[in-house]
Amino acid sequence: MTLGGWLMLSASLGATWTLAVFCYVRLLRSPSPPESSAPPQGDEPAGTTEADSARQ
Amino acid sequence: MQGRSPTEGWSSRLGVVLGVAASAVGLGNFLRFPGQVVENGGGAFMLPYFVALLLLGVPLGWVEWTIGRHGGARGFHSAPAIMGLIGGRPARYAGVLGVLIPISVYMYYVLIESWCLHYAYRYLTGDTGFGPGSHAEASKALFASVSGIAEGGLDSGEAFRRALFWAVACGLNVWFLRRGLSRGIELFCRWAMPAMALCALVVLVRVLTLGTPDAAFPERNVTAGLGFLWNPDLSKLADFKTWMAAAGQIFFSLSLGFGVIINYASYLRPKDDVALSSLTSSATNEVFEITFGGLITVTAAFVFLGASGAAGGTFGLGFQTLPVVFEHLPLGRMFGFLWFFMLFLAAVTSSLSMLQPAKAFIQEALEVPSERAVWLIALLATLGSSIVLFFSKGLVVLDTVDFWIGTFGIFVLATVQIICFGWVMGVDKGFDEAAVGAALKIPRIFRFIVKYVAPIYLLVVFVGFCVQNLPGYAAAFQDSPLAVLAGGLILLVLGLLLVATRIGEKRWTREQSGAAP
Repeated sequence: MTLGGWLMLSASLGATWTLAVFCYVRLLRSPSPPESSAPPQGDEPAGTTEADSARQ
Repeated sequence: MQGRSPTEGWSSRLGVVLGVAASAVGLGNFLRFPGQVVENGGGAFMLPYFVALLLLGVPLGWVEWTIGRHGGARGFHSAPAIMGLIGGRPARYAGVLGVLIPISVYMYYVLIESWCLHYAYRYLTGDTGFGPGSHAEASKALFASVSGIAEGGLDSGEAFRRALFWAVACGLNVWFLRRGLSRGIELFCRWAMPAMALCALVVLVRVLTLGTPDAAFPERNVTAGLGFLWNPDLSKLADFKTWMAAAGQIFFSLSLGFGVIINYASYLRPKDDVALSSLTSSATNEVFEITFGGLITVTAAFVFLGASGAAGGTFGLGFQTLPVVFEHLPLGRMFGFLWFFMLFLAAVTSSLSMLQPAKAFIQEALEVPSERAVWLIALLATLGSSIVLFFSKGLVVLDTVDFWIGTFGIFVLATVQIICFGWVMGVDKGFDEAAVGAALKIPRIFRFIVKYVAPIYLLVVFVGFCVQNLPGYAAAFQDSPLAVLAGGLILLVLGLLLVATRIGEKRWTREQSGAAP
């Protein structure tokens, strides 16, 4: 394996893992909006979104 | 409102991220990606690859997530209804592609999924057929027996087993679909993704610790295998085909222009984040692609079979070369099982995502309850898939549907989506919408990229792709009755979806004007 090969492999792995770790850390740290705090229970009644509620 | 599906939704933000990532992570990551790297300049391929990720993959991801949430907030979950919200009637009918693509791809993808399960079963039971003779011949025979490539799908003594694994794969998909989004697809993806990563990690560690297994061939070692894949051939950067292949790989790998992300994102709440979630899904897919796709298959094949064995297309590398490798490997049966089980999980998470958009569409267009929509879609998808199974000779039907729908179609849909977002909805309005509830600020430069760079990039790649491939596939209709059959199948499904869209259109238009902000 040439130096160029090692460089491309390291850069590709480094870039993707850095991006993924950044995203997951940020995702887990950022607060969820209030609407998401109550998970749907599989068969919620209609009107669970703002638009549905508005239409009813 | 009987047909609408407000009952479904994601149970958490991580759930939707894993759902989209699991939909994207599939056979393309593990088998197609390394083949593309080898064919297109090795490590040098990664330069156009990351450029395409930055200019096409990431922005298109944001576009699809935003369009999907936009439609979901107004009570719509199918691509035709959502696209119609933005671009009116032409966009609504173009949006039919967002249903046609996933359901048509499902018809052959579930078959490949059944091959993975069949292979995993063969390795688990030791029934791989390898003996003292030529491993390459035995591997070919195994693939022919599992896929039915040599004869019709139900023409040989293996027909029953083939049909059985196919039926199990179809049944599993329908079962999870029936359970709904959070209790079916999300639940499965939540455990399948870590399980896939674990299986792939075990195989990866085994491959990277192979050293030089055959003293007679000292040049066949792990470092040389990695070099075979990653050593850059910079001259390839001057070749337009390399840039086209990189853009294509990003596209297929991230499931862009597939109709799936729009549908999945439509189940978000109106103020749920899309910016960070989309980027996280893309990043997850890239980790799987580069870490596992970029280190396992070609390296293992090179170490045991040399350069000639390490080159090959998706099916050749995955289903014919690797079984030979496992035969050489200590504890090869166990690693073979882990590998094909991992591929099976990757395939199921992808195929599940292909049925959900069609289910949502049927509910919205025909105003039928969820249960009936599931059975209608299961019937259509299974009948279509049975045609691909039965006419498996030469894999002509599979290949034809893959080209016209799984490749050509997604370019068209992605172009329509980005034009609707950037030019019809308006790039500023679109990115302002993406900023609602965003956990990540999207840099302003992406407004310019989405409006000008990505559409031009996409069109250039699309035209290049058509020039390169269209004549051959168009000519196939004259030479092969099976290609004509595949074309007929696509047209039949398209016709049914257009009729359903026509039925739902009047009500959607009425409701859309009522739901307009």
